[in-house]
Amino acid sequence: MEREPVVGIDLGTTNSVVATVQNGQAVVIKNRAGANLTPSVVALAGNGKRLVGAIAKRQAVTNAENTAYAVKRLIGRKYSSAQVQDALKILPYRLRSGQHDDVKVLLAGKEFAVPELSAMVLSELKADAEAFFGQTVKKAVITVPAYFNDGQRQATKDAGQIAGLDVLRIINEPTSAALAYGFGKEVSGKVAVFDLGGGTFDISVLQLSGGVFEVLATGGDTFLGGEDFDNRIIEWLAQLFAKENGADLRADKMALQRLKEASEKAKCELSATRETQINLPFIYTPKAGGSAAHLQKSLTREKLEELTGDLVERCIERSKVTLEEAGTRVQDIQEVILVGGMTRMPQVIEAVKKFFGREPCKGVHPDEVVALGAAIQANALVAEAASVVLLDVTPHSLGVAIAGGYARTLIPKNSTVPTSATELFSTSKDMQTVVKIMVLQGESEMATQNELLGEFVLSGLRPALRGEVEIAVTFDISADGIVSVSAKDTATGKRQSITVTASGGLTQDELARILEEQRDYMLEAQTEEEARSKRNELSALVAQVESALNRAEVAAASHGGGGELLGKARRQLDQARKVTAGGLGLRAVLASHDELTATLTSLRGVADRLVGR
Amino acid sequence: MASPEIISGLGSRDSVIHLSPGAEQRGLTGEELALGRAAGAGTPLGEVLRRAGLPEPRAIALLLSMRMRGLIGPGKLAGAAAQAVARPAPQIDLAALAEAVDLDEGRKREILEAEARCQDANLFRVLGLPDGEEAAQVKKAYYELTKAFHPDRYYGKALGSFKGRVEKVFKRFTEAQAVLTDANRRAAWLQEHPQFAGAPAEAVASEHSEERRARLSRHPYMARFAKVHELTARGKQALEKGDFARAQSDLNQASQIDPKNADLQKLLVQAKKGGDKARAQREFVEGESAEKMGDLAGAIAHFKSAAALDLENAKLALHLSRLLQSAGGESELKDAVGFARRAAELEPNNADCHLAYAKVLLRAGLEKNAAREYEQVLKLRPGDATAKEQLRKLKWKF
Repeated sequence: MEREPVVGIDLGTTNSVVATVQNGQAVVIKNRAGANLTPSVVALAGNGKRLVGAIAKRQAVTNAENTAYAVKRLIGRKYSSAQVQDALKILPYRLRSGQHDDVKVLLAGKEFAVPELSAMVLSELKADAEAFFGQTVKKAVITVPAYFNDGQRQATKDAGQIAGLDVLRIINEPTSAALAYGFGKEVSGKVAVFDLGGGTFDISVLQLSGGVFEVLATGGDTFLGGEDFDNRIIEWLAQLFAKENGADLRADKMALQRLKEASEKAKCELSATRETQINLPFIYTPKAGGSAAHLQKSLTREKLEELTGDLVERCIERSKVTLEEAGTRVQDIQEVILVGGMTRMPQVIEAVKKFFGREPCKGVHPDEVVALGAAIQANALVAEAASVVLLDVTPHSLGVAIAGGYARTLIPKNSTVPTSATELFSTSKDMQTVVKIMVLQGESEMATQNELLGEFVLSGLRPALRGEVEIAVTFDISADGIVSVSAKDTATGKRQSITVTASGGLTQDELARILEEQRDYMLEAQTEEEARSKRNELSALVAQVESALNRAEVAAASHGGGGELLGKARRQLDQARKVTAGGLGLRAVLASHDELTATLTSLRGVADRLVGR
Repeated sequence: MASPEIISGLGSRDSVIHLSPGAEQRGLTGEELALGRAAGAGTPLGEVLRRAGLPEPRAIALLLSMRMRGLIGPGKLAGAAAQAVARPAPQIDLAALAEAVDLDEGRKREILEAEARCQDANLFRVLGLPDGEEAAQVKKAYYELTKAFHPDRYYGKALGSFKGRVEKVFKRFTEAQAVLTDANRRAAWLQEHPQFAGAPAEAVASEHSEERRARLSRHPYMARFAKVHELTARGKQALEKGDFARAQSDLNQASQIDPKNADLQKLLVQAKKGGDKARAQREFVEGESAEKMGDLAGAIAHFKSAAALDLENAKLALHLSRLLQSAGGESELKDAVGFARRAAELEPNNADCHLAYAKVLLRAGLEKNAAREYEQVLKLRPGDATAKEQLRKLKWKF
């Protein structure tokens, strides 16, 4: 029986690619215009017609306000987020805030949600694949940058659904590249995938072993890509122009669009040549009348590298961190795979070469490799006897908000999925009968700095003193990357759970407000182990402070002075003894510990000062 | 009773604890003493809790505090008790085998067995490995298990209860692997479960001594010695295998470093002899083939070099002598006499050799010597007609 066709789609910031596996070979499906790459550009023409891909890109200059590009940088983001606000300044099309602080794009007076626009690109690719197979194509694996958070992934999945696709899986772009690199080869060892695309930078370290692809660590920056390099050129040109003509080109949408195109072209050209000309005739017409101004500049590779040096440096810094997280040294990396159009830039290649100490792999096509990998994964999921298995990781830590506005991580980043974790918590107030479980994603210790994925309430707890009711919170990430969280009262067995499906749609301010309001319903971390070891530390500290206090007292007795400090130290010491003996919670232990550490330093200082005087 | 299988800070109920030596003298309370005695030299935790005669939470709290003060520790089972807790073979959920899902019987059984294995507190056993297996092997085994048990392998199949089972099994594998391949987590786990450590102490010791040995051998003096030793060993090995050229080169090198080593000299002689013999053999074969081709001169040359290398081959000498005779010529005849004599001397009890020698002597005109050889032949083979006849002829002259 003919198997239903499955495809892999690289939904890129600037370009998208669709691929499939045929006769054990991963191949790119050309679009109906015969090109491998389809620009991720959507436009509404004057006649109300919807344009996607190369046609849309071609008319962008004359129809800048109704042409949406790089929407991937907006997908799954909040309108109020810094990233979207920054993007607002440079995008020629208009954005508007939706009801849940989501981003809406305004094209020809109509509002589109970002996933809708991505769906248009996906539909185009779906149609290309259908033309290729001569039958309906439904099943697809879509790639996203490794550093996309749950909301962004979910929005991408939504886009697939709107386009009529059954999204088998959302996988990470660098992982996908590694799959394409290792597919059908007997390679074993560690590889690094350095993916600098149009909008994002991703770095992943994988261990390949006989068809098993284990992601060791992944990291990146969702706002670092080719567009940022372009913007540096745009800014440079605009500033030069402003100096000469006293006008800001960026204020004019059409001029900005022309600048953008010229900058991108210049950047690409400088990958092959050492110098290029940027010519934009009649770019500006003074409002007050007078002759039109032209922009004519030459840009050398050196100048470009000067403009973008810090961006490349940021990539290398990120790579360093990710390698550390993978527990891998640079010299253990067997191969470096470059992905994304930006890795054609000599400056990037040089930086990679210098950091990894080896020539990057030349065997893969930086623009197509991600789609090919997605096709391989799609095939592996559907095929009876798949030759590859992907061990992917969760790119962000997951945890819950606890009393005091802290976040407690249950599943640390870079954990292999599927995975689950359970931890015991307790109530934070006396007679608390309700706890609110707020599911957070992110690396910060402060709850508000993380992203809220969802929340639910566990009620009907036994009224008791704080800390006495035990609540077991379980996190579970399935192989599909779906997060479910449950909380259970260990005494009554009462249970509540949610499956996290969409981003909560909250801004950080809202989150902070909610946390403040819900103060009475928070969990308290019950980390007995930690508390015990800290308590031991505290006992040791108490002994130190005692001896320092004795010394300071002797010194004070013979030299006079220091009374206030000594009194404070004695009080703190009493408190610390109480904490160590009474089995108070971790927070009390930590607070006492901090106090005493500070006091110890000043006690020693006092003793030294008094004796030295 | 729904008490948890694993007690945080103490381990699973069947992990063994013991009272530290000398703990009884360190001021235990009555309850603590009772618990300590229950633990004795090594008793499973569950058993200790049962025997203590205290409410379980109280007993656990006491044990935790004792553990913290180092009064009890994880230990090994003493003798018969060890037998008693030996784990029965994992029981699989047979009812699940009947479930109608997109899996064949064998697969189902595999998953159920894996699930049963996952109950084990011993992470090595969870992964199907011997206790104390090293990290690299753990990783390897995990990858193999991944190929069979990763949920992606069952994507889109109707799995029923097996869906949860596969996920559970795979998560457990991942967790076990994560602990055993991370140096810190592994050490912590092993400290809690020393009974699963396998024989790491020895391994470490041998690793250390290996390291020491390597360091010592880097010392210049030791390096020289090690080199001789290594070359000699290699030479001996080559000698046994019959690779004389190799043996000779190794032994030669060794004897250059250590010229006074008598054993080495002996081996070297042996290698040289062996080498000569082998070369002689090659020359002999080539000579034979030349002879077959009718290339008499060539054959003689090969046989001669064979004879020069192998001084103890009577047959070769005899053959060569015959060939030289048939070649004619003064010097050849002289050589023929020489080789025939060598044959006769090598095999003094072989009548044929003496006969051949006598014959060539006769041809060379050395009748007196020939007569002596014929007499020798008759001594060895009294009835020899040729010898009798020739002797008679020789005597007739006088």
